[in-house]
Amino acid sequence: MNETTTRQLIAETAESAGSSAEADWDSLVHISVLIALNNAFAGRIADVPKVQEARNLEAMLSILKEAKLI
Amino acid sequence: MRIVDIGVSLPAQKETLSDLVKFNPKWDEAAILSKTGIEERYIATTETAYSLALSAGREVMARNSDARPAGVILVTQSTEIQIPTTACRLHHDLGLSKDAFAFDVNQGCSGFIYGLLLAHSLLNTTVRESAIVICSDTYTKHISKTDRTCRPIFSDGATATLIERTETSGILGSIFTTDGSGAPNLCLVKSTGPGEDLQLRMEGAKVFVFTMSAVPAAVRALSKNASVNLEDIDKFVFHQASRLVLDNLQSSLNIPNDKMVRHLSSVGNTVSSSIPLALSAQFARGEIQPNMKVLCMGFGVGYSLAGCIIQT
Repeated sequence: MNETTTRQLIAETAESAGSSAEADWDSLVHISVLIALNNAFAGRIADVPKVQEARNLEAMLSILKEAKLI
Repeated sequence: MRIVDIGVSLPAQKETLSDLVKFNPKWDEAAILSKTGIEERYIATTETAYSLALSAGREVMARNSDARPAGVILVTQSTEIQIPTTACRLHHDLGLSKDAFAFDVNQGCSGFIYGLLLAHSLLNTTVRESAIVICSDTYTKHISKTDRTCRPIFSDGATATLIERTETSGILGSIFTTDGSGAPNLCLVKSTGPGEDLQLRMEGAKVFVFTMSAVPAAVRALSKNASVNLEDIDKFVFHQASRLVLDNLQSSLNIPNDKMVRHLSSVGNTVSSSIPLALSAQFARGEIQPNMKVLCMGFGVGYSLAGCIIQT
């Protein structure tokens, strides 16, 4: 997945969980995003270091880039 | 070993998601429901972990008056009194004989399996035929009504599971895993607001990442250790954490819908009682029959995980 598609997926998922992508996510939103990404990246998200620390869109994209997933 | 009966005791007061949304008008009810799968939960107001445990224990003993249990194990993280051992008070109030064991187990979501396997082991050392595992937790007293992470999920309740030794059924395998590095991610901390002195703090994403990696791996390891193929498991009864967690486990392990047990919409996440509550509902509906293989696994606070495969 490229960055644009990933950005869109995260934004839509955060919104469906009751938050904006840019806001500091609570656990409900954060977990929803992790599941969406896990499905998109073939179950590899749990192995990405610090993925549980990324509480907003830009932080999550940065971690995914570092892990070379996007 | 077989599960003979499960007594259930739930608080009188229910709290619906709609109630919480009225209290927190900015919350999106549909969004929360789609993620948690929980419409209503039970809140202990006049009840305590002890009174719920006693009530569940009395229920199961009333229905099985011939039983002479070798002892009682109380699984709880919610007791009001640390000394004396709460199981000793239960032992007395349930009228068990004096030559019986009684002790508490301080475990949360993995606690039922701990209790079950301990009782199973102890039954092999006594002449008695049965034992009781009581689970009781009242987490909600530590959760503010404005906590969107925890309040829509956690619920209070107790179960009392009577087990007995048998020749034809039993535990086919078990697994425990522990990772204390996760302890700070689900724990009680000093409250900063009014009410209880201690409040529940859950780093939900961190706990979720633990379940994403630890639970499927443990299920596969348990299946291998017990020499039971996952395809041959008839029912998967996981700790009923939330819809998101159960969906993720079902998808990771390719579990068919009819084998994946879900029992949280009307009761929520009752911590140590979530697995026996789900089992009780399955037994009541005749969904679990003799000669089935049932995989049960609890996981969470600790981090602690415990699982087993039961041959019914």
